[in-house]
Amino acid sequence: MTLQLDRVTYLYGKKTAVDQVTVALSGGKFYGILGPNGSGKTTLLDLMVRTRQPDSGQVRFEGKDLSQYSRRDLARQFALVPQQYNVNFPFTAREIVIMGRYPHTPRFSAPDAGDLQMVDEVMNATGVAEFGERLITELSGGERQRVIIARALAQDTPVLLLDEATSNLDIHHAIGLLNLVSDRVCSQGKTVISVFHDINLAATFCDELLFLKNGRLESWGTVDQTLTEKTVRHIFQVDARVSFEPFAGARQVVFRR
Amino acid sequence: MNGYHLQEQRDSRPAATRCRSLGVQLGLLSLVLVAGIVLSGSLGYLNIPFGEVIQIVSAKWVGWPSNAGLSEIHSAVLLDVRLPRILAAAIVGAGLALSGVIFQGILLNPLADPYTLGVSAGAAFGAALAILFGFDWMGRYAVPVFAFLGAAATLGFVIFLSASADGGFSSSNLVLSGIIVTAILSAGISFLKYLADEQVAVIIFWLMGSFASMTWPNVGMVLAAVLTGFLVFLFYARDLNLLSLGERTAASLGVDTRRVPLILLVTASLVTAVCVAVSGIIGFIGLLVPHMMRSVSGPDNRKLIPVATLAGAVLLLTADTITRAILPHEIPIGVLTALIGGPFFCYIFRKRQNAGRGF
Repeated sequence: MTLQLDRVTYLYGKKTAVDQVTVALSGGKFYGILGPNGSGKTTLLDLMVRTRQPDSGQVRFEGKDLSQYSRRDLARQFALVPQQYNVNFPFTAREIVIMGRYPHTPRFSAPDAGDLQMVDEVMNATGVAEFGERLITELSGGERQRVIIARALAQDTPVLLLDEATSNLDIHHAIGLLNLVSDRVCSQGKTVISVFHDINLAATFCDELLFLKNGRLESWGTVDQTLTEKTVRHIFQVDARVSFEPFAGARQVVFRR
Repeated sequence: MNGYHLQEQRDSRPAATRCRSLGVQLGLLSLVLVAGIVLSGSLGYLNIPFGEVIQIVSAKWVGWPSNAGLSEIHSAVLLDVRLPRILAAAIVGAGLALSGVIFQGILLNPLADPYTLGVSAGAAFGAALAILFGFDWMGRYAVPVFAFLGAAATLGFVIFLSASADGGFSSSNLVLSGIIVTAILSAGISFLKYLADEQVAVIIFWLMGSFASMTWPNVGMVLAAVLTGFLVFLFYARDLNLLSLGERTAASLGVDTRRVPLILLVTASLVTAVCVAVSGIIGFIGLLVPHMMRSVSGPDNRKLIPVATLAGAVLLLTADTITRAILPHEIPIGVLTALIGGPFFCYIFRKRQNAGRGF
């Protein structure tokens, strides 16, 4: 898998949300995107899956411009877990997860045995199976978020994009789900690109980090290269101490008041 | 702990009461619809026995058994007067319910109905113009044609008004534009009524809806529109499911989130426009039926669309039969649906609030 962004710029009216971002992502890695509120993280994800089209610059997937793919082709390559995960109608959790198989099944066909097996598998793996027959509108925020993640996993795409997908989960479920997707990176060669707010979780799970500020890509590289006290101060304007933490197996950040 | 337990109890109920067998639902509703048509055909000022209703219809269309021995008056009343009216009512009911499903699905708004984008106000304005100024050269088609043109022009204007710079349509923009345009047109209608003098009664009666004096060409028109709409909606039913997950998610699952909602909104509005042009403004069917049927068939639009279509047909046929054949005086159908539908809507709305679940 290769996903290349070449001087990609996106404007909201006159405000530049993503500014001349150039980056090349390759398969089998876990990428974390970090940055303050309004730094363009979500917009960057949208540009990567063509939910938005860049005002200038180019996004290439497997060497081909993203605009040359059909919507359905893209849905077989990229799955997205959005920040907003309200569902407006009382579908059951399982019905929502099955929707992840839509891009793989013809318009008027019911999901086949293989589809349903995939659905059961991800529902068990994410712990959604235990409330699979309950209505999505009546689940708690965290449960609903897990259903949406299960739906994205059922889509079974080479690339998974997470937009703060663990923001509503307790630490048990957050770590469980990040382990689940990171296993798929290792064992199946998938690629995960995830927006994080928690720097330490990002450092623990990611291979490489991208730091955004005001729409610009300020720093990009492995966790050891990029996660420094200087970067944290520059990006977030807070004082922090960064050190390798053997228990986490990665560099971690501590803050003070 | 206690709270958690309560939650469990509350949640397990609705999914269990939801009957999932689509075949059974469609079969039952079709049966009720056919029975309703026969029953309604037999009821009225002239009572025609059920057997004779079936015999007349089968003699006319299948040619068997022969129509020898059948009362000619009964035949004429049934074939020329009652059946067009019965079928028009059923098809318009189906069309309004169908459009209601689409509007609620696209606008993600439980208050949405086929008239949300101002289609009814546009049709009413067009019809009022036609009634006021006559347009005699168009004969009896003046009112429906102007009603349709009014509805279509309104739809175009509302869509123009709510399009954002990047060509998308947010549901709140659409709803707001619909409200604004409806308000302007309502003032326009009031002004036309003020100008109308003795014709004001004609305008008022049109606004309240009626299936009296339906003809076979009317039936053909609504049937063509509703059938086209039905096929378009069924084709996009799966995309409509995905749109309820939000626009970003729908796009990531392969839905063209610019084109599909627009196609569906325009189709649903045109179906509504044809229905309104033929029958006048009939409220509550498009709001009520999708809600009721969603709790029966579930929110999956591939099931909801056919189920709501049949249920809408049954409901409006029933209402029209009540006003035509059962009540001592015919009251306008739009008034009747609002009088029955409104309180019923209040009842289920209140019940769901008590159960702690909104729409």
